[in-house]
Amino acid sequence: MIEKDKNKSDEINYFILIAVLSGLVLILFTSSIFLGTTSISIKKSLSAVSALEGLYLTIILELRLPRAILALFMGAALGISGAALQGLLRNPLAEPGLIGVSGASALGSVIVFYTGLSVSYSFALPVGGMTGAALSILLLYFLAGKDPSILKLILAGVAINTLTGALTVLALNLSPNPYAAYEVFFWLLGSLENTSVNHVFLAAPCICVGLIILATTGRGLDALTLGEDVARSLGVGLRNLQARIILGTALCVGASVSVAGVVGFVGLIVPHLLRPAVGHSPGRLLIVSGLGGATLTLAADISVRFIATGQGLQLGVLTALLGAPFFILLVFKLREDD
Amino acid sequence: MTHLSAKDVNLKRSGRNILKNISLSLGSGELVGLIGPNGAGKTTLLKVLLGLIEPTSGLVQLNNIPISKVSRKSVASHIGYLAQGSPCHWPLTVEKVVELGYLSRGKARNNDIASKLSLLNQAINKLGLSSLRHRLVPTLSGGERTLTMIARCLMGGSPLLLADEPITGLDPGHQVDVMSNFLDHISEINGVVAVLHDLNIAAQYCDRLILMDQGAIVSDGHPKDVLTSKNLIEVYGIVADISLKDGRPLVIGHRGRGGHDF
Amino acid sequence: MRPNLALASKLILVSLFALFVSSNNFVLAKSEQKIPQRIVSTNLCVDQLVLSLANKEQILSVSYLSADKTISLFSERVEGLQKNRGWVEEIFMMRPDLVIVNEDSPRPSLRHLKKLGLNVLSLRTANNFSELKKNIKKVSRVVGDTGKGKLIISNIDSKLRLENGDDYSPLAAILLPRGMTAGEGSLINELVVSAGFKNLAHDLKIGRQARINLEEILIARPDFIITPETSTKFPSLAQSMLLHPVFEETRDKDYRWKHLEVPERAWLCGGLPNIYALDLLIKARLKFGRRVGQHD
Repeated sequence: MIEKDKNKSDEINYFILIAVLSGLVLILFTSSIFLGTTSISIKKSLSAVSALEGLYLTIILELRLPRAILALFMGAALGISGAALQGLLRNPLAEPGLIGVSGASALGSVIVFYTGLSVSYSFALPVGGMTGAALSILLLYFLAGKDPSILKLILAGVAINTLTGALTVLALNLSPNPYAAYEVFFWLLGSLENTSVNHVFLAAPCICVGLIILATTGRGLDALTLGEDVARSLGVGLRNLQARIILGTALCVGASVSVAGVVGFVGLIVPHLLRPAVGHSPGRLLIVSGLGGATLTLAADISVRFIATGQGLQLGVLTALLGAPFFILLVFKLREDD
Repeated sequence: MTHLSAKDVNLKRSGRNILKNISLSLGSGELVGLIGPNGAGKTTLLKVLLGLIEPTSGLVQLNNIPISKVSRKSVASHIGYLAQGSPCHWPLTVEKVVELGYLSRGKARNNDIASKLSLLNQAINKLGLSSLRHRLVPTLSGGERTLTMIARCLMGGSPLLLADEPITGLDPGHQVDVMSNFLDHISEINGVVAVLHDLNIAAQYCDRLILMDQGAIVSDGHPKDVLTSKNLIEVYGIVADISLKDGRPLVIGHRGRGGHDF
Repeated sequence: MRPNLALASKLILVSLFALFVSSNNFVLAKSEQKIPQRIVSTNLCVDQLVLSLANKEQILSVSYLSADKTISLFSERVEGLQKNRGWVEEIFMMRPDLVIVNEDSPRPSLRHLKKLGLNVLSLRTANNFSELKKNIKKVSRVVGDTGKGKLIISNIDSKLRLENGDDYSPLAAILLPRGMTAGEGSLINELVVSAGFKNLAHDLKIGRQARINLEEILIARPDFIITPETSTKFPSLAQSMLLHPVFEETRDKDYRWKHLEVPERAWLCGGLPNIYALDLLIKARLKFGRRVGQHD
């Protein structure tokens, strides 16, 4: 009966982890509303909210709340997408940014934005991002094969990233917009600065649907640990699973990138850190990675407000600075394993 | 009672005939050894029988229903599968991997945590894995891994088990372990088909052997009828001394055709 | 004094334009053979000076940007002129007798032009009126202008003098595309401050050009938010910030700030168009000042 207890304690640990991460998300979300470039004291904020008026309330409702909500959703989207892609490809380096999914989303959004399509139909923007994301995953399957080695995956990712990056810059070069050169930075190294309620309405519903779809793939991903054939022999519909993950990731990453640009490495760092805590189970990793992604993105987005405020450090730059060492560490680890 | 059959199954891949006119019937409480040289099409045949690969022509039937018409979930509840090399891509614990077998039980799965746990304990104890329960599968030896995967199949409770080279690369102790496990649980599992390379082990444990060569079944029957000098020289190209021990053949192979001993 | 201001500035502008139209009658100065007749200008801001100071017949080519009417005051005047993109080869093949370039622009390479033996005048970007006046004088001298440069300078000076009589200085937040603001050391700051505003960037100790946060702008409760006119010609993220819904939201409520849009061509480059920008800014400030005066 010790075994029974052990089994139970795994279960309990999992729920404790979820509770702790949810708590962190809640704290950071609240901080994100009260901490800003201009300090609004908590007392002022509370009185603004309670009095339901005033400039402070406007700032909170129109500037800080949308930003916090987007950081939350975007982080969850990137974290869970990273975990799902890693489970699907059985490869810890499968990260939306590294394998070109985010870059392709940026390209899709850029095409929709600069052709003016999103001016007439605002929802075209996330649709463009999602189309780019879905196409890139299909292209990745085509380039790297079904069961890609790390080398193939990274090479395919480099190929897709290079192509989409070049096409993004080309699309911006061709646009008559004199600010295009500066806007490249936004798309390639994202930012949540000056996001508005409109962005939330565009991205959040898509991300929500994507999160729900991905959260249901846990059992299939667990089974996939044993290889595609065994997973199918266990009753997992592989095509269906792949389709759900591609759709879910496209919704999550496509919608996030279309409003905030490419914020890389969240999907790499978060699952990597949390994997041991859930006994390496790809299924259990999903929800905790979503929460972890939200935690990291909220924290990073709060930090950029206080680091180098004059020049406005971009969120994507900070996550890349945090993520690159992780990537190097992972490469070393994988080299040892071989 | 699960019955799996193939009738006139052919499989062509890029102009090559990988399977030729395969007809067979499986499922009546026997341990079947599927033997033949490398590239004979044994692994492919298992995948066709599982419905993982669609044959070019011919019919695979599960309980008299074409397997392509049976849902994956329903196939899973009838046939378990042990893949070659027992892959496990993430460092999961033995317990967690065995638990994955529960997936093949389909809809009933989340209903009863207590019965799930007792099944888990049964499967783990039966294969003597209690002490390895919390070890990570990738750190296990090949034999321990295979036993884990068999436990996983037991957990699933599918009456028929298709095992692809379960004892290849194992030390003799583990080979005997795995094979006797198949035998011990034949009553529970109903039927096992195992791809084997060791002819003597095949002869010793199996009631029926299927010999394949170049995509076709050469011989199907009791070991002493399958492991004949004629079959061995034609299929493996070896000249063999065959003696009978307890009614089962014992094979000592020599370099073929040229006639040199080795 | 105030009511006359608008009239005065209008008169000045009209007289200036009249001068350009009648440039055919302009008698060229003494040493006619030294006056360049094939001028190539390679930068939008340099173009604007050359187009205001030289006769059209003297000009061979200007930069392609000068044809864009959102940023160029002379988009009509440059019709029929060759447009260049600042490539050294392209310029050399035009066989110019004078090339005027902006030293702060990467193209064309000044070194290469000089190596090819071309006659080059290089100007620095004007970030304030005194630098602008220097540039105007330089260009006037080389293109053989005798009166237009002086007229522009005296116009700017008189605008600035008119302004001095008033002591009401409202707080203005300058918001440029990409979320930038213009602080001390920039021409836009010079224009806004000269028009009698206090620049928020100054209070926030923001330098020549840096990012400004929307929150900072709103918290400072400025009297004016000054932005360039947004163009609907092309979608751009840089401009989308100027259209952030929080502006609409705060405008609806009882915040005092007024939105003032300045055409890009009026303040992007130093020169004649600045007079228009100053005029616009001063008028808006005075209109606002009077309104507050009535309240008091």
